[in-house]
Amino acid sequence: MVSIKIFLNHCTFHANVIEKRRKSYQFLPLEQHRARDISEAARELSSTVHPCQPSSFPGKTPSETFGIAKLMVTGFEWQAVDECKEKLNKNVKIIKERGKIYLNVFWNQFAQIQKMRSIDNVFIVADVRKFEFSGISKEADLQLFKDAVHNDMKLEKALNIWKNITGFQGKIYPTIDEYNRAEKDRKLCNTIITSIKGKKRGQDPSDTEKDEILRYRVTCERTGKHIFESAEVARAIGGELQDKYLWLVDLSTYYLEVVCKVISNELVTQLRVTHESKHHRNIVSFGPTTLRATVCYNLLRLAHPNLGDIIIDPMCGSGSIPIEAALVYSQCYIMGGDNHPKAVFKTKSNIEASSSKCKIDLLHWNVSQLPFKDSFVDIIVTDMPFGKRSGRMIDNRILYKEILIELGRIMKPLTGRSVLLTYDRRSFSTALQAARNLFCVTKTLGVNIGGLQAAVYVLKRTDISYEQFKPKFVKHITYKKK
Amino acid sequence: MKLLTHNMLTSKCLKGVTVGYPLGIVVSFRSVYNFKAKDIKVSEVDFNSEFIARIIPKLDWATLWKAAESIGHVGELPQTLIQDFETNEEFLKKVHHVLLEVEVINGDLLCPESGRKFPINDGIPNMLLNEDEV
Repeated sequence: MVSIKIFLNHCTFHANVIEKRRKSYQFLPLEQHRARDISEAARELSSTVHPCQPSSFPGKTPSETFGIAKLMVTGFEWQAVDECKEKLNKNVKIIKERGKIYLNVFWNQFAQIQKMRSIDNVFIVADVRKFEFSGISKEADLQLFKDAVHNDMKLEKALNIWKNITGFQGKIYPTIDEYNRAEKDRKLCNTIITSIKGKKRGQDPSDTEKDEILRYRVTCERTGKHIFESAEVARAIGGELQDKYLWLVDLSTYYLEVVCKVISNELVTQLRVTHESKHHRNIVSFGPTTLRATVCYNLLRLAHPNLGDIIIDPMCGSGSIPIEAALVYSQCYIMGGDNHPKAVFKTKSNIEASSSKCKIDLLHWNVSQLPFKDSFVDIIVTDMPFGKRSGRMIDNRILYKEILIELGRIMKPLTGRSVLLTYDRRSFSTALQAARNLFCVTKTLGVNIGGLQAAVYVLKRTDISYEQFKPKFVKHITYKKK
Repeated sequence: MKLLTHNMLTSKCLKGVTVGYPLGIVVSFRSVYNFKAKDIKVSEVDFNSEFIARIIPKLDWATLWKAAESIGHVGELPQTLIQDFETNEEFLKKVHHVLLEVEVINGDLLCPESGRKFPINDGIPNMLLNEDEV
């Protein structure tokens, strides 16, 4: 609730709009939610985010703003918004969409953007334009895209920014001779390139040599009813861009990815800045259900760690949550543990690799018998077994109840808080009923974890002491299959 | 295992144990050039004076002192907590060293009531219980 207040105090019009939407979302079913999201955001987008204006001279004066799009795990948009406000400026205008946010930043703020921990990918918004599709002829609609790219779309400023940010060394505007030569060379060594195995997609733009010609690909994402398909749009736009700028097409080892988003009748052209998603950090040896570092950061943010707090992850797996916590919240003491010996060893190697100088410790324990005193721990952040790849749904019914009661025992009354990520909502809600006197739910978020509709529960410990508490008997309701 | 962690651990979950605090530490020996040395690692951890000042009230000072003494790393720590430790940077640094930089690598934790051993392997205490102990 604190963040909402800050919102209202500092932003005038836009905050109100976003705030209203934030409230109204809670009562909308998912489909309506999505429809509102897209149309409203599109309307706001064209009015507030400055695509890099073709008229303005490409340069890097600090006062000049440019539009940035950021992608994060769906469900954590508000955490990303809060982080932006915290790290950039309280008054920055941010448009939230499903799984992404848009904002304008100054040139000199970009270093902070790249340091942000809640986001996965960053794009530069190069162009926003509207079309009126006929809806009858596919060729005519695709021709609209081609004409727009050929005549109106000026990517020079966005490209300049992209080049400066990513440190691309090669040539963005080659001559015809250079292009022909490069194309001929490439045909000769094409067989060699395809045989090189390694990263699947994308190359680091700063690895280029001086006279290398830009290699690019166009990716299209389409939302709404259209007569054409996204691959056809990508091909049309990609072809026009090649004619215009003489770049080399390369679908796998590209330096520049142009992402075109067609949202009903609007086209947003973006240039990818992060050649690799930002969640690739901290972890060296992976377990079967290792969480993304960005998700871990967002979960930790929800717990609001303070100076001197003790943070515990009782089911740490390969240790992504404790490591992220140790790196970000150096004012806290973090302990992680698991009951599987393999998980413990994986966590150990990960801690040695990325956070050996931090205040972190590792134990081998069982979550239903944690070796702590009563009412001692401040914060518990954990990713519970989903019952899909780790554990079984049928075991979760009993396990979740045991977990919640044990967590209630070790947490500090009144101030203790826990953030739990789970997929098995049914088991969780029955467990919560059994332990209902110990916790009150302050927030729930629907989150998309690898395509699964997971939920984050933020619980606060009530002031009832563990001795007074008696678990409630809850009958398991089983639904018959039709 | 860091001594700060040791300060929080109990064996309360064992059947028949009511308090289970503090756990005793038995450090095993390793041979270094034919000499026997205690299997303890001293590593560097970033110092944060505010954190230490905030964590000291949460600690059980007597337990910490005893644990540090039993593994031979008590240094110049006083047996009873001094007054005004928040502003005493020197003192906080000493506490920081004992709490976070000294790690027990191999040994055992001992339950004070039942005498059950919890082995510490490679710096990780194994607090798992058998089914009949719960």
